[in-house]
Amino acid sequence: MKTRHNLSGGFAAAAALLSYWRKAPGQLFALIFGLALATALWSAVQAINSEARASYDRADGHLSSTGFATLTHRDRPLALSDYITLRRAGWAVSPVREATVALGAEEFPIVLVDSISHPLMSKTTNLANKSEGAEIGVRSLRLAHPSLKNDIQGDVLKGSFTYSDIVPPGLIVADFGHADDLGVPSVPFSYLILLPKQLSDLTPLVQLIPGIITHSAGAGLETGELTQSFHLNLTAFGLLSFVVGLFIVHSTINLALEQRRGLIRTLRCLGVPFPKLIVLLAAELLLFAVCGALLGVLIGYGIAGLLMPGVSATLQGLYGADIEGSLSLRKNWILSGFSMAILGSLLAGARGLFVVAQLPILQGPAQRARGQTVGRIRATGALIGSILLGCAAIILLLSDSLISGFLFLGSMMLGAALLLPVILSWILGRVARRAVPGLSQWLWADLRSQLPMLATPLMALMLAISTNIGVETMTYSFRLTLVDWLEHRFAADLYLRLRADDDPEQISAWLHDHGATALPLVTTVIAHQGHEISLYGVIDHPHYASTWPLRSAEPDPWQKLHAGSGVLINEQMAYGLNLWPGANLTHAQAGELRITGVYPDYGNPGFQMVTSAAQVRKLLPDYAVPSLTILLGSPSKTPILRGLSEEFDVNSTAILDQPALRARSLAIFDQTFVITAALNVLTLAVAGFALLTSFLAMWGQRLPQLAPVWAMGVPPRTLARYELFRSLALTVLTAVLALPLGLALAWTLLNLINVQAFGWRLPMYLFPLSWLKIFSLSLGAALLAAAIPALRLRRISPATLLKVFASER
Amino acid sequence: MALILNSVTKRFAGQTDQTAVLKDVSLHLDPGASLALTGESGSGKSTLLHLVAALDTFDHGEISLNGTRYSTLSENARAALRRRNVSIVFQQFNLIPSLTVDANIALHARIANRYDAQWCDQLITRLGLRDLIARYPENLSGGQQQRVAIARALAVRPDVLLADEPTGNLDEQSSSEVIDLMLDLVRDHETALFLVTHSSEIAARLDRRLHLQHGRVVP
Repeated sequence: MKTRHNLSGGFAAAAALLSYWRKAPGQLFALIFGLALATALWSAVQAINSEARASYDRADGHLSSTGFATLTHRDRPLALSDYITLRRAGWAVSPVREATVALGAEEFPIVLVDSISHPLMSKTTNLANKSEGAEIGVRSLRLAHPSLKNDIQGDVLKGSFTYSDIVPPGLIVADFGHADDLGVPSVPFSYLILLPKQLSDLTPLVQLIPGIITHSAGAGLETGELTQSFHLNLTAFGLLSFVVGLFIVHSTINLALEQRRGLIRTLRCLGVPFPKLIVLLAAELLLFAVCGALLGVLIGYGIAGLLMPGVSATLQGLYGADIEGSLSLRKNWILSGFSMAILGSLLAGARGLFVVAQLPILQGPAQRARGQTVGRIRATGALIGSILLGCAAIILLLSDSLISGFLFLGSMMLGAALLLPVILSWILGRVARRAVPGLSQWLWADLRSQLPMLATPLMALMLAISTNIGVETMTYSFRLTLVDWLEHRFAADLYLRLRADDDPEQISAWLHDHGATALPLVTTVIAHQGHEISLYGVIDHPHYASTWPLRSAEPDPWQKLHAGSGVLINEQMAYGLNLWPGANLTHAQAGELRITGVYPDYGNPGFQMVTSAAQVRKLLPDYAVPSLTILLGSPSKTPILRGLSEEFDVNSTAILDQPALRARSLAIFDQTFVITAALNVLTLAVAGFALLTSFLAMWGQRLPQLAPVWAMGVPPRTLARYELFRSLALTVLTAVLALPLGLALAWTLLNLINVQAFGWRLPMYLFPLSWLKIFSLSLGAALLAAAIPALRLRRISPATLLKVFASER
Repeated sequence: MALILNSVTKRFAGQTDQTAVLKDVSLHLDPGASLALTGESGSGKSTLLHLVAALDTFDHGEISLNGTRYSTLSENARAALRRRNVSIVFQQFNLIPSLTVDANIALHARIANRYDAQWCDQLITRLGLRDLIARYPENLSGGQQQRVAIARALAVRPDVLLADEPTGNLDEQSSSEVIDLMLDLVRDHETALFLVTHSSEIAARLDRRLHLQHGRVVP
């Protein structure tokens, strides 16, 4: 008691402010849970992204990763002397030899590496050291995939292997020090890895070893870029979901402040200084933000945990690495969740605090001001909304960066949301005027009169619906485009990576004899305007013209290409250097190159150019033949693969099976669907929750509006039906208005964000069935939200309604 | 020391000196004395009360309480004056609906850091609120709420107790009881009472009576 009596004035005022929540537990729940939901959606996305990035880091340790540039020689295999020459010249390179090893009765593909210099081996050694029973040092490294455990049981060396799934299936990896033990010659090298960190001003490679060829990293389809795109889209979705959640917080905070006007005024009359009141309210907000954030991070962790196994399965498919399907609590996304919740709450509460700051101490003028304030706020909202839309238009016209893309997106979404109440008010006003006089007219007018209270949740609903439409349209469009592109661009059955000592002509001839067609690909790297461009040369074959998709082209681009009078470039290069069909590119070695077409090249982070093989051979003698495109025709895949292995010692790591690659790429998008579908439902649930809290908060104010109609003979059951109608009507109107906004969002993601982030533009497809699904979900959420107040109204007692008249004076 | 109003004039937006809500109002109120302010609706009674309570500012003249001149006070100083020196009983009570009766009574005193449990206890007894202390305002009648508001206002031991139509919501008997209580309490504790009322009967029971007409004090 003594402590209570000694409470300072500040504490007494704080206790009085906080006592409000004891009488309004539903509102307190709505506030904290709303904030928690907003934070949860954001945190879940961040947790998935964070875990996935950590998984990529682990997956980068995979021995089959090809994320490094490599060196081979045009005419011969690379010898130990070449390695020494390069090392002495200061080049950081690491040798690799691919071969086969006989263990027991069988032969297995083996990769010999230098454990000291190999860029991934330190990670691998750490991982291997953690394996059960492994006691290996760097030089004793000898790893095999667990699937080989039984196959090499009979070998005398079986005990010296460490089995780990960081090794690709069917492969053995060993240090060069074991070459003799395993009976594998350590030289010549298959290739040298060119490490990413190099000293500056080194003597050019071709001067040190004439004929040496650099193969750029990531030639071919890089799923990593697609995955980044997936994460960017997820982040955008997470952010939009967070904004939707913030609307609830905004709504609840302002409702709580609105309902505490009397309390605040009384406290001021009792002498609580105004700044102290603002500090107390801000502190209260901060307290709720922390509680909401804590709960939100936990819920987000749960959501991410549910979604994570699917993500890990995708990553496993992509990288072949063993990635845990569980989550770790990571500092970055927890902090991110807390920061967003606290900053978001302060942002959402700022207007409320500002209104409190303007609140006159005396009640009479305050009441007069309140009506004016609602009108003023709506007018201000519409004005800010129009300004934001104007800004969006200016950004769209004048700027073309990733940041401006996001600014455009934010301005457009927020601007449209702020204009919603004005547009709805206008529509409802017109409908009310045309409605049949009587109950119908009252219904529409009543609907309109509730807009100020429902504006915020309706804005949240519009953002949720448009976000869902936008993201679904984007992901469906992306998938449809990608499927089509993969079908055409990678239409061949097999792609064979050639080693330096492979003879492409000999292999091609063998394939021809066995009913297959081999299309050799020649390649080199050229520099242009500070960019590294991978130049590919293709032979004249109808396969390319019939399958290779083009985004835009001059007439007969392939004829011009094979005739040596034109080149095709990828979309990334077209956007990056602003080169389009009809433009010319002048290169010191390659001469004047006319761009005759631009092709989509999803997943490739770099610039790429395709010309005829003859042109490459003629102009750029430092070319390589890194791969053969194989069209099987009538023979099946298995005998060809077996034949390549028997005749040319080709192991499985050299074969790129395009159907498998296609499947892996599509898996990313299927996973995107799983996650976006889950987030769709959650975002709509959040918006539905916002509506529910508003309906419940309006309950006390609804009775004086409904009681006179009840007194005129409209039964509570009918009034309850009207409540449901109110919710559905407003949701339908909002959904209809959200559709164009959602499509604008999809257009922005496909045509602005993706172009700026990844360098490719995607065609936009419309999916009315998807809209129908989202509309149905929204209506379901709105019905659920209206169900509780409607049920309450249906069961309301006459005494409760009579109280309305009793309190009138 | 006393409450002194000297030629106080108050204009709202758009009003001139001729149409001002209060024109040259002067009065003097000693500790322990009571003053009734009567007048028609719109005559400026509540506005005058708000000025004395330091809830609003005036345009001309001066108000001083115990030598403190209102015109020199900052917003924070005015808040401090409301905390410690002036209490107001509102016509609509303005109790905190989420606090119990005893918490409501203690609130002002706690905010002013003047909480005295014994004094509050005495007020609760004298105002007949003993059985009601655990209730919330919504469960009280109008008369009970009014008594809680009076207790809250007196709990801080103000120099001046202001009451705006404190019996406006009460029946005749309750009104009489409330006025008796207020007069007893202010006399016992040397508190000045400044009461706005429409009722001539109530006005007649106070030490002095002033009548406001069109913003001016008339005899």
